[in-house]
Amino acid sequence: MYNHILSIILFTPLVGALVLLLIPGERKDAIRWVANIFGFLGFAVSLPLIGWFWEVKDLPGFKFVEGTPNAWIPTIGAGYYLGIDGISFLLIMLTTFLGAIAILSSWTAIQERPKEYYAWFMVLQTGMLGVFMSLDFFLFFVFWEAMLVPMYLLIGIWGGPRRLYAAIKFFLYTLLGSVMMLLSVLFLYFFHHTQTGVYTFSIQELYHTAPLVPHVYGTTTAVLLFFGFFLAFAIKVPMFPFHTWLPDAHVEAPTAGSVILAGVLLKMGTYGLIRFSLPFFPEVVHYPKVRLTMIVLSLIGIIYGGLVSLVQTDMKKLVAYSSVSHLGFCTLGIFALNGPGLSGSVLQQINHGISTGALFLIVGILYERRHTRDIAEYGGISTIMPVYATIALIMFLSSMGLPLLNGFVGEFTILQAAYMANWVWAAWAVPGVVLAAAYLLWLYQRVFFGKVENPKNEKLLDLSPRELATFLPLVAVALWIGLYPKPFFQILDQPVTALVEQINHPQVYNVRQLPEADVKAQATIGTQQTAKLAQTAAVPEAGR
Amino acid sequence: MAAPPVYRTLLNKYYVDELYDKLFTGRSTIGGVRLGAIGAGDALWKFDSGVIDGGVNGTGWFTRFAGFVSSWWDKWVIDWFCVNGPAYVTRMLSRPARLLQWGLVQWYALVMVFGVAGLLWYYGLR
Repeated sequence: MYNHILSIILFTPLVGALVLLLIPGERKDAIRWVANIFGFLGFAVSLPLIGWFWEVKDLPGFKFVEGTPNAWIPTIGAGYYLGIDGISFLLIMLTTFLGAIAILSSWTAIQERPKEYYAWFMVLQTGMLGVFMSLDFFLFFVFWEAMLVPMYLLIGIWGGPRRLYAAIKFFLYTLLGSVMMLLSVLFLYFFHHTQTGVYTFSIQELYHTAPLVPHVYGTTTAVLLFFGFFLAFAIKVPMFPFHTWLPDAHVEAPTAGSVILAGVLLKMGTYGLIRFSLPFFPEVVHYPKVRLTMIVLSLIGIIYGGLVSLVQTDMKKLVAYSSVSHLGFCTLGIFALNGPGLSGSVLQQINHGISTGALFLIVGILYERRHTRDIAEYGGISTIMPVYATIALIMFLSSMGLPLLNGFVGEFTILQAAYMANWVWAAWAVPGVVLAAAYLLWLYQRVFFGKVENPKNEKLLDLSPRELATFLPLVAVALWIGLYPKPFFQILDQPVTALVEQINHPQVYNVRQLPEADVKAQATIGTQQTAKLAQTAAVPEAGR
Repeated sequence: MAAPPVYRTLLNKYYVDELYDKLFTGRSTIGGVRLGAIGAGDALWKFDSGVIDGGVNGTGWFTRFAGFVSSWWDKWVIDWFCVNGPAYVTRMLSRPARLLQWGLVQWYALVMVFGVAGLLWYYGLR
């Protein structure tokens, strides 16, 4: 089991989907039980990974590697190649954790066609896990696209009134970015061939040649390639101004769909930036104009997302825009391009998954009871549902970054990193923290405090044991990260240090002679493969 | 005795509440438009749903419009003009040629008579 743990984690949800297909659609309770069993099973199989990963966390490179690089489709150089490092490990744990909770939370919410719902949810789980585990770009792209269809169906069938518009907007918008990314990666794929004579999609191999693009093709081409990738990830994160699919998709999606969408799918964008944009284009990312654009977009996202959240009247839209604001912090951390920035960003992604996942669940609880998300409809809920109000307060405080809870650790690290890079950036990011407190506390006041104005709210039931069970793990993890984040930082230490090293000193294959001015750009020569390749037939000129 | 402005400031608690109303709470408005941070939020929300989202929806509209233009071109130019057109022309051109083969023997006999008469007239008068 140790050797194939990643494949086991990856395909358990898919097996669950297939098992669900065998159950007749009318046996709704059986379907729910089986779906939840597989949800927990998906989380349970990822638990051993914690212990095993902790032992190897400081080893260099990717761990638990499975498969071989070019063996799946040799003619194009695609391989079933899985592996994780600290960054993807944390995201995988978040995915399995939130997946189990989200499946549990949809027990009463989904009454129509639960079989299809849970089956698609399972397929979505596999897609998300595959994205985080792939070490081969073709495989990564397959899983990346494979996430779109289940999400489209989850929103489009089980969503709110404007679900069809939201679903197709989400699908086409994300797909647009993805095909731009595909275009860029094909360039890198063929470029790798001109450099090494090998056709491969293996990410580790592409790491060795992609940084050479600015030297061979010039800065404009490199910047365009960078933006191809960036478009895909910026739409996914989402960064301003590519964020408008988010409010619609989140508001119209069913509660569990929103939890997974906000909790995991958004992290794929930031994961892509960390895993691809930064290592493939270490020089482009350092160009002042490019970096400043990224930072400015992040800062706009933080402030803009916060201000727009402030005036929302729909609770779910408010939380949706708060996601834009929080992920602005994450991208700010990434483009600070230093250790605290990257580890703070990854940690904040995990924190956002936990706290915003909880926020969507919180909104979902009220929505299930009253079928309205209008803030004006509520007031004084804490007297009627005290347990719910307490949990909501804890998660609201977590989202706004109160010390002792998880949000503070991530935000502080990112602000520190931004300050290290340029104090002006940190100065602009800080109002985002204040805005988060503003809109979340004001929301809490309007919904939970005060007098019970609306008679329809007087008889609302407090949390059922099942609903409590969806919240308590989130609260526990929020407190854990807030009080004792050290293990998380220890897990992130090796990959982040290696990544910073990779950005500043990319290890490229020195197959072709580069002009003197460019020699300083590469610090080390590649592996024995390089020496062999250098001795073999001449590599064709790639056009200078 | 303190000068009136100083007294008024102290009496109104440094005008902090009024300042907050202007800057943060959104309670003070100019002609229905809220001021301060809330006003900025309102403006940005309008910008977001009008301009940015308008751009997204506009792209959708444009794509559907391009589809409409494509289907119009396909139906009228490609299919009607380039495919059905030549077929029509061919049919028109074949009208005279059809006269040669009706399957009516009497017509063939008549044409033969005219043909023989024409030949006699042509070669006889030479």
